[in-house]
Amino acid sequence: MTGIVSILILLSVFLPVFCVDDGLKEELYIKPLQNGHVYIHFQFTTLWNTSRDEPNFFEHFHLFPKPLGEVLKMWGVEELHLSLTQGLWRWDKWDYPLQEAPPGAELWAWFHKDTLDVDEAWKNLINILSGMFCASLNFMDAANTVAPKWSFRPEGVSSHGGFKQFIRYASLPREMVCTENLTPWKKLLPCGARSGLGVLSNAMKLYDASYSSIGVHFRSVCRDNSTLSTCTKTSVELRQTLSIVFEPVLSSKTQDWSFKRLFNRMLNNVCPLAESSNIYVDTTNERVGEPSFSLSPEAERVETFQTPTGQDRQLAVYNVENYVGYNRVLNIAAKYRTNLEYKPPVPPMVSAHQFQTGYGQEKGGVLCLIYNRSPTQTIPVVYMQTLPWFLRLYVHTLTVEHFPVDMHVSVSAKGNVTRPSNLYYVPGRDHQQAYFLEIPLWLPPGTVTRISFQFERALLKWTEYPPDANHGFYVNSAVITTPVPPDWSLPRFTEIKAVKSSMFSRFGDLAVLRIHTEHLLVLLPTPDFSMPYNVICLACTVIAIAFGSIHNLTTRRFVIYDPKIHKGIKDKLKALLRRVFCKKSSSLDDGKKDQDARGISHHVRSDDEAFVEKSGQLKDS
Amino acid sequence: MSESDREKTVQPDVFTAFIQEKSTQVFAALGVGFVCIVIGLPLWWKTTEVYRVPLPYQEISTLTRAQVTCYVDFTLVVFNEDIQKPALANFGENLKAEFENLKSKLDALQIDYRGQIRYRNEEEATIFSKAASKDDLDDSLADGDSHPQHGHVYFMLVPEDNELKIQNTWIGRRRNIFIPINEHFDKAMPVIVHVLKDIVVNEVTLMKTFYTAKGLILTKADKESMRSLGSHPGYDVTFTLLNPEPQVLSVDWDIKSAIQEYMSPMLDAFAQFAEITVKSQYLHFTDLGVSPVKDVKSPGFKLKQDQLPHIINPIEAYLNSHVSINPNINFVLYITPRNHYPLKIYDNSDELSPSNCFLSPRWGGIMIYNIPTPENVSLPAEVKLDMKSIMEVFLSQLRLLLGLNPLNHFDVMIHQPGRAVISDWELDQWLRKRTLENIATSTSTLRSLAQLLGEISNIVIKDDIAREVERAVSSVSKAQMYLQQSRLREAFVFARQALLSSEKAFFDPSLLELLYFPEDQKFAIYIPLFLPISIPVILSVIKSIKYLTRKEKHKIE
Repeated sequence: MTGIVSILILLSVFLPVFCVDDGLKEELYIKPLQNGHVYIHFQFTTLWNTSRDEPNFFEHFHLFPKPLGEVLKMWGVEELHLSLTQGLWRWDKWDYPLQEAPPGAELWAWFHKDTLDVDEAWKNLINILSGMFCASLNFMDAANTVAPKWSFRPEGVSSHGGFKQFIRYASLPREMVCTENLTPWKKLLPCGARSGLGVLSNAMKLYDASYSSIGVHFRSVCRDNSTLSTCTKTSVELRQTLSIVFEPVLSSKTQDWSFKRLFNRMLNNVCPLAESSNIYVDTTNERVGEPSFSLSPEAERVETFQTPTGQDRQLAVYNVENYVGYNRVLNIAAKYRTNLEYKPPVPPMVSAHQFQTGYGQEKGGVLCLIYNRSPTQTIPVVYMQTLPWFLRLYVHTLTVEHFPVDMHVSVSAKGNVTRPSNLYYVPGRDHQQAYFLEIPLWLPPGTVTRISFQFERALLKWTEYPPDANHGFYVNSAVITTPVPPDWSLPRFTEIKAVKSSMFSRFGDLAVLRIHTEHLLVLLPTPDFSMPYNVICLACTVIAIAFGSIHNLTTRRFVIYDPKIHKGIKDKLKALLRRVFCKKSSSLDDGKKDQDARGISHHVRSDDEAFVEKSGQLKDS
Repeated sequence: MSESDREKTVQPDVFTAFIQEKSTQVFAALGVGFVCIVIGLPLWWKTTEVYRVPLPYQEISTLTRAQVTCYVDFTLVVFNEDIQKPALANFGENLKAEFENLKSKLDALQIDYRGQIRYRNEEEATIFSKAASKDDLDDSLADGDSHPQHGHVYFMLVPEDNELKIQNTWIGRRRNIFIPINEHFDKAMPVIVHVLKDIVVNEVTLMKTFYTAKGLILTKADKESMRSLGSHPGYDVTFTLLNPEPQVLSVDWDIKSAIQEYMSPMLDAFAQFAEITVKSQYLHFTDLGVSPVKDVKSPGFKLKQDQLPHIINPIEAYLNSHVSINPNINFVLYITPRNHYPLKIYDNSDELSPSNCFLSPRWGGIMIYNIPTPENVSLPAEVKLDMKSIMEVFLSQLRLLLGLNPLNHFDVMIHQPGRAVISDWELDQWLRKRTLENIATSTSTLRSLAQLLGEISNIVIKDDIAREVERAVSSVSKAQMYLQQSRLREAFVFARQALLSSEKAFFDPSLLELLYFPEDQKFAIYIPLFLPISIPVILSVIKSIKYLTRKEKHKIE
């Protein structure tokens, strides 16, 4: 035994590991919100100095997950953004998020320029990803996949400069997201949920929160910090995000939070594979004076950064490595000096809401309100909406109107109508293609912009209805893309030098924000599903009856019939009955009664015959 | 005019009118009946018919019953010049008779040997005299012009007192077998028969593989056939470094260059026949599914053989590939965690496994690698693995998983392929085995498919399925033809094509589409239409026919 061990020792040469070409960064950003909620954002960034042009691309994996890498290579995916979200981001209450996501599942991918059949690649991609993340992404078929022109631009280096034939976008608002989606997400982390910040991702708590969103974002970035356009060598970057909004006030009446309370876990080690493991807590006091809460343990340093409006914000920075190890655990806790005062939330400068209008089962409408609360600035946005093919969009009903921002905008209100200078519209095709609308707009300062259009509900084939069809059909959230607004209060890429974070650099050359509105639930006329068989039976019977009478008319002739000569079944039956009846009565009663009965019956019979003779009865010959 | 008068005058008119009316009705009824039965029924039958392209059922049953003949060509090259021609001819006749005797005639698989015997030519003589070593001789002869293709073996009957000291029968790593002979060269005959039948062709394994694939005999699966992966168009080889404690040992391996160095000859050899992809990954913080027990006899921990099957479960989820349908061959290197160091594998008789690794049939191999935690070093300590020992273990496991037999025949010396992993003649053997296996599998798949489609009349047979079936059938016959010509390469290619096509046809999802719409339900739906329509139509047709026959009788009378 010792022999083997010594041989193995001899064989394993102790050498310093050089040429590290991939790295992992773990980050956690915590922002206590005004109304007592706590916004938590995890980000795990794997950067690997490899690119598609190199031999052995995506063959020998170290930190990058092999299952995902193989898929991306196989189907020529250049950029991939997947989000699985439970709950809706409340723009008015929670301010801007670091990673936006609509409710349900959203996937968009840019394919490499050498991809021959993008539709085929997309089909394979969604099927593989749906198996990988246990989500029904396979429903992102051609009928609800679109290729946006302006809203979703490449976020990294692209081989084709962003031609829209290489992008596919789809979203499934109905998708329920839960533990079964989180587990595969955790498996992609190099340290899993065993070590490092991943330990905190406790499914029991995450899906008990107001909002929970996991994301996988893959792109190519420049290896040497040059801009996208001048890039020569690229690396691949995988960003896994997890955003949660907790509401600690719900369970304990105080705004205080700690890792133990939020996640029911504490940090006891640092992921040994990570280059850095940092936690940032936004400690900015919205009111002047003392900070409203104290952190324990205290942060090792506090960074200050400026928002675009010039406001100073403080970030408490924890380097996890310095807080854990040798029986030390890190449990960051915030203790508030005063109880929470509920105030009307201050909505952000740009936000949007979407509504359904109309009544009845035939027609309806979609109405979207986009707010620009800036008193001075005109803001460019791109409005994007996808309607499933069974809601037939009428483009001629599309109106864009501006209202003053403080006005209550009702459906019937009349505002300043503007014509959008540009419009990208893809008409839908039944069962094949969704209706797609993209409108670039300028939002004047201090206005609400109302975009509204009408649709008509189409009838589905009876096999196309999902189970529980009376629940209704979901319509995707509208996506409003805009450059990052000036009241952006989160750290951004300009501050990365201060905190050495990659988290805020995701915007690349152009920083954009995508506002996802509420999704809609539209009721369609729903049939009774036992109907087809009833219809078959009924239709067959009607045809049979019609055929029977026509057949009779064509193959038979109706003539006058003399019952004296031809006795019909009726007469034969009568005679038979009479004979039986008479026999019985004669055996029971005396002859007179018998005689009477015969007389009566004879009378009736003759009367009947007389009638027949006179009128002539129609009889079948 | 009295009532009776009128009756008399009108009566004949009414009667003729009645007769005319009656015949019009009869023809109308017959017309409707004709339209319904002669046009309507076939039209309905045709329009509701299931789309079924005719399949070559006849050819499939012929293929199933046909005997597969596999020819093995060999050449005896005599280097001894003192052997006379008549003796040589006699030897050849005897050898032919010997093979004829050993042939079994009844089998579905027939392996025939075709040999020729000749003196060495000038080129071979020069190579033989100039060769520096046995390996050199082997290589030079194989690269020569007169030694072509796959599936052909050469017996070099060299003088016993040769300069290269070939004293025993020696099988090189190409397609040459060297047999030292003296003037009593009849002794070489059993050796040739043995080498051909048992080593080069390995008839027993070949037969077993063929019959198992054909599903003809239900023999208890033997170790060898259970271990190796079946025939597939490709294999995905994945090397995984499992490091449960990266905070203690930061282990690094240079797998990229190790694969380049140790596997490229093998990948080149297989390049034309199977698509083998090689990938590697690191997995951290993943444990084995079992907890080792403390070794009482020596310091350390032990894994018992019966625990081994449970080891791979927790890591299985990380090893699967989502993009390929080829079977995955996994090689896992497990770095022992600190609290189980050193970890050793013991077999059922409590013997220490010398290589500390084990093979999981049709799955891959696991090697347990013990690295001591260095003292007085800041953790994690960095370790670079030596790939030679690791790759040697994994490559020997790969040979077994690909279905290559271990080379241990006590009576014959065999050149170990070493880094090349596979000798040329072994590749031929592998090709022959896979070809026969593919032929057997695809014929039995085709037979099952034909049987299934014949039994269930509701299944739609689309054009592309028929095309695949036809392609499979023709590929099987072509593969058989090439096997008879001993052209292994072509035979393999067609057999593979046959397998792919037959599997594609068999597993096509369109075959399932109408399966759950049985005949009786179809009629239940049609009954409300058919019953009320068919009764008056049929009755009136019968009536009309009766009327017409009666009229005919009247006329005759």
